[in-house]
Amino acid sequence: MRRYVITAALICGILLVAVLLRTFGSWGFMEKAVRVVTDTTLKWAYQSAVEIETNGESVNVQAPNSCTVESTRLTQLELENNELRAQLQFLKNTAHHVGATVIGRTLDPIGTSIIIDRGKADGIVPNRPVIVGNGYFIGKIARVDEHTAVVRLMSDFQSKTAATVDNRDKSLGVVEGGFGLTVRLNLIPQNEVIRPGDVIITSGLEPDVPRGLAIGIVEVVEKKPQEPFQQAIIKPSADLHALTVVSVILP
Amino acid sequence: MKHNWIVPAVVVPITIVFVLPLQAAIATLPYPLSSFNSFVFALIFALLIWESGGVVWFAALLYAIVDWYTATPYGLVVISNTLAMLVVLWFYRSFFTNRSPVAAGALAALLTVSRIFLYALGYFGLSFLPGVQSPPITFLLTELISEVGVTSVVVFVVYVGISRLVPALKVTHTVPLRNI
Repeated sequence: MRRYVITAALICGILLVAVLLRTFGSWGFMEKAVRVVTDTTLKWAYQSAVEIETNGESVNVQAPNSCTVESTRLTQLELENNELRAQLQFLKNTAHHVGATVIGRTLDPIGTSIIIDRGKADGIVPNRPVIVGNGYFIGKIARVDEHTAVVRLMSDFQSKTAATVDNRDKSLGVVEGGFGLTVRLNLIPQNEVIRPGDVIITSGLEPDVPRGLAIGIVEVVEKKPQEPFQQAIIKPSADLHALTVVSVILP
Repeated sequence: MKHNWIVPAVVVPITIVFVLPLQAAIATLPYPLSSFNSFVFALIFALLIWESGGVVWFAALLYAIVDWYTATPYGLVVISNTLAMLVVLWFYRSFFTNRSPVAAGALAALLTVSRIFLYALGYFGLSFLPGVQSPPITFLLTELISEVGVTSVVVFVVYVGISRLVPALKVTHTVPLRNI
């Protein structure tokens, strides 16, 4: 038993030293070289998987001929084009933003995050909001490296965003993840009126997240008289499952 | 094979390069298929084929790269998962008496349980840091059950499928392993 503990302590020690060296940038040259391969393969695998998923209905049992392949590619390009147009329309009035391609998803053991191909070099900093389509909020930047960043989606158990009902002045509650495909609006005071179908947006109370980004629509309101706050289950406006192109709103 | 370091030196990087994108693609599948963990799959087969403590360092290398792509503070994933692999290696040496599809499935389940337990423990330890929040227990249990179920079944089925083709996976009693 003692030998086991010593081995575990030794391994922990070696790993801690490695982690510290990485924090101070000592592995930088090696990391860069490995990332050239891993970033590329991740991006290829993720984009291919999403492409297959989005064209799932058109796939039949026969082997695809060149026409089917071309049609699949065109459909994918069309979807991407529509997504970019929608983002551009929304971002017209936003001074600083950067577009990014999603290169992977959730390598985190229990988290819900995506990896994008933009990082510090593109001016991205932690906690900035990330959107898709016509201003649909999907999450916030959780970690930034030189050329990649990890976006924590709003369905992640660690995600918290100040939110309110559209067309209402004051902040209503906090949107939290950790419940699978839905998110919850918690900490709604009992005296507030909230109904299924209400549109939930970011309240702008957080320093990095502007007001007015669409979060989702209220599906169910849970109100118990003995509890100080109400809860609402929200269906996110954006499809958080098959993201390909996103925009990061910069300061 | 287990005394030859040249093969792992070539196979390990190739496996890492293959497994990373595979996991990224698996994450896009519908639930519960998205719960399949290809890292656990690769590590369990590496342990059963290689039968060396070197698999712990393989886990360290693999998760050091995985940790670049997570939202957690760097180090949490690599340390918790490497220790989980160490626990599984000890169990394999001390309690498992044969190499079989059931043993492979059980090892996969054990690795998943240990890694999520150690990962959650690390989270609780780091919850004093700003912006780090411990995962809810119910959420952890849901994740654990789906991941254990899907990964163990896939490991079991693949073992049954390939054990006749790969001599190193022939169903047999285990031999004492070298110290790491």
